Amino acid sequence: MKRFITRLLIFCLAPMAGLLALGYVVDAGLHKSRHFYYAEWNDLYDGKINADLIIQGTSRAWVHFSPQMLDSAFGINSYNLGMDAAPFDMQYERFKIYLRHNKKPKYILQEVGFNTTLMRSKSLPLFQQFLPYLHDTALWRVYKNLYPKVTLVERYFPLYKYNNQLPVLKEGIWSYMGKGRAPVKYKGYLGQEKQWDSSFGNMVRSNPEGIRWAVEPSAVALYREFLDYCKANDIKVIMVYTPFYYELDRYILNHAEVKKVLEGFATEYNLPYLDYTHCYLDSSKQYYYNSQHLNKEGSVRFTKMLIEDLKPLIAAMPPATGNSN
Amino acid sequence: MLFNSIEFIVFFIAVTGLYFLLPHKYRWSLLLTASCFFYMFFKPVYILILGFTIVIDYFAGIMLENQTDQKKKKQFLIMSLVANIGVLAVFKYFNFLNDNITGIAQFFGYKNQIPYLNILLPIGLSFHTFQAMSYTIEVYRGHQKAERHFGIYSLYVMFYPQLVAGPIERPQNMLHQFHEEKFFNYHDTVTGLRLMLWGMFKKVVIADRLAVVTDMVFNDPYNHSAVSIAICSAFFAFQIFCDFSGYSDIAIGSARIMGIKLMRNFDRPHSALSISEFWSRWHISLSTWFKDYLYIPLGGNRVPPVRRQFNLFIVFFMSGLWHGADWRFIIWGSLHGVYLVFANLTKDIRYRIRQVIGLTRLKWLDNSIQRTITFSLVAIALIFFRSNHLRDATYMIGRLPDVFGEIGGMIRKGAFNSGLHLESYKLAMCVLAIGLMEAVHFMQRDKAISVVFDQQPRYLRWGVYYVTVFAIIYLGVFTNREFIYFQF
Repeated sequence: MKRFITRLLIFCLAPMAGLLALGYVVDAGLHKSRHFYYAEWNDLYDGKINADLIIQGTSRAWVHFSPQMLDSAFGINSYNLGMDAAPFDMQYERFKIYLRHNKKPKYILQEVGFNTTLMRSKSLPLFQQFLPYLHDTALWRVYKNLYPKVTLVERYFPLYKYNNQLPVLKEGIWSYMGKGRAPVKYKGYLGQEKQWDSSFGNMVRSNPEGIRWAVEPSAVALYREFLDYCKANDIKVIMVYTPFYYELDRYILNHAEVKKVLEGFATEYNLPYLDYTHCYLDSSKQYYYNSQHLNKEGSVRFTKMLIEDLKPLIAAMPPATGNSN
Repeated sequence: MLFNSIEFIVFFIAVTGLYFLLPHKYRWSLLLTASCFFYMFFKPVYILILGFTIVIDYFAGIMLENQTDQKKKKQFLIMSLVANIGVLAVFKYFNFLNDNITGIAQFFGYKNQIPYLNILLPIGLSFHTFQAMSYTIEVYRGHQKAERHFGIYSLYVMFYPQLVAGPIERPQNMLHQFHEEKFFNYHDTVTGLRLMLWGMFKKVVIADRLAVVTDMVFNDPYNHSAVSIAICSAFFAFQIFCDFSGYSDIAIGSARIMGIKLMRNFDRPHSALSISEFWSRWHISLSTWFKDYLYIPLGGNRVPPVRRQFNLFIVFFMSGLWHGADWRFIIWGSLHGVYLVFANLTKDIRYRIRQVIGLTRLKWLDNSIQRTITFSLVAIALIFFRSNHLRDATYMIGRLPDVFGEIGGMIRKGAFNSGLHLESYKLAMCVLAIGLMEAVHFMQRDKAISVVFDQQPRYLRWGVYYVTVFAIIYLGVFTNREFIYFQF
């Protein structure tokens, strides 16, 4: 038995140094990466954002708001922190991490919507984006909450967190060698050169009666906590409901209820609330690639419209302090 | 507790370590306690059902042995079988039967008044019930002495490695092993660990990877092309093999480390040249159970040919029913029965045709064609096994002939499209994993790979171990998906 245990120990320990080294290479590479998943997280953790204005929200934020246009219109440094399919709790966690590594913004353009703002996260979309940062206790807590099956093995065993993520591993190694992918977003924004697709039709077929979206008390409380924090820290929040294709409205059974809660927040905290759900962009498919997302042309038009509406709200700002991009 | 979980790794190391630390006389109690814990990890209350059949069969065995009157002996056997089958009937078949009564009653305009039982099927019920039944039958036949040690008998039914999904053991193979003192054996340990590693590889790297693809199509067949249905049907044949044989390998391996040898359950079934050969290589412990306790008592090969074919069909019908209380499983089993009867009836004419067209002279081609046909028949029948509804299965089978048209279209366009909404590298990994497994099987055609493996230098063996371990850790799909056969 002694012989067996000795060999087993040698077998287990022998590759550890190699695995740890490879794990370091991949993590370090991804921390430098400009890949779609990691560029904004890296800017955020490296404290390179320090924006005067941040845009916070879901995919309806990062495909709709162009920081480039906002910067040139107001002479400020803005940054888009929109995250795919991220309900507000996830956005808020990212905001907290942002504040730990960056100066607090003066303005937040908070994208709001029927299916994210007043709901808690139920799953972890695009979980790959979190993997290189699991050493961060705050992020680890979020990750573990949304993915209860995760164990400490993911956090500490070298490379295990990249299980079945060959493209991510590849990106890590290439980025470490300085050959990672070129950035595709500009300050978190990426206009989508896409045409109207079939997803709205599919949604209608699957839910011909429409969908009633939850207004979760715990999410409402969290949103209030966020607004309280901003008020206490003199961060001006501007709520923006970005455009969507008009036919979608019919399938959001409780849209009026959701909007009433959002308007209630605006009134209670005396916040500007810009609602573009019935703007001129809502009726033409040429501006959208699906019912909730504007394509590049639509997003440019939307940002122009937004800038006009923001002019009276945003005072003249000092010149931007520079940015990693 | 699933074999493919961290909990099991901890459990296994603790139990095996303690097993070798304890004196022989206490080992049965350790294994029994561990087995109870293992079973109760799923749903504690169902251990009472196991306890019920264990008590009945334990006493039935002793009474069978003590009894000299054949008539009374038979009564004891029947009592034990009724108790076992009764448990199966209540927990597994009652609601299914009731469903069918409701259907028939509705057809004739009546309302079925029999209430449904709101119960869950205890995990692995069919496995341990069949193992318990084999004990009383063997004692009745005089092939096995009744076990007087209640703890050892309980362990025979509950031994954790094979408790929930077999292999379905025989008392002649198992009971004496629990009485014998086992010592730590380096070779057994390495062989056992190797088997466990291979089983885990098949489960998490192949089966659960394929499951991601097959689930996609089987859960929504109406939105998939004929090509994707065909690919997924073939994938499912490999998935279920890797899932089930993976479980068996882990079971056999973990028992082997403790010096207990379980029977082989699979022997490269996809290399079978006929359905009959397939069943001699697939789920061997169940096939032989049905042969010994159903086919032979029905008359075996000693009855007239027509009766023999009928008996064969009955055996496969029952095999389908054993798998699940659902028409999908019954049709799956019956289809195999039909395949076998058809094969038996047309054996001569098929050989003659192959002879006339010259296939018998080209052995490799003949074998390849027969293997492909056998595999296709198995995969088609499995569509019933995996589908969520009978109508899905019939739809999918109905779509299969369209494969040729779709492939023709792809050739004309010069572009292959699997029709699966999956990144191509993921599909390639599925194919690669299957190819790797079949390559290992191919190497085993003449000699067990473990024998060949033992003759290799250490660097090569360790190299293979490392590749397998790393593949499991980094390419395994750890969604804690249950083994398919747990549901039976």
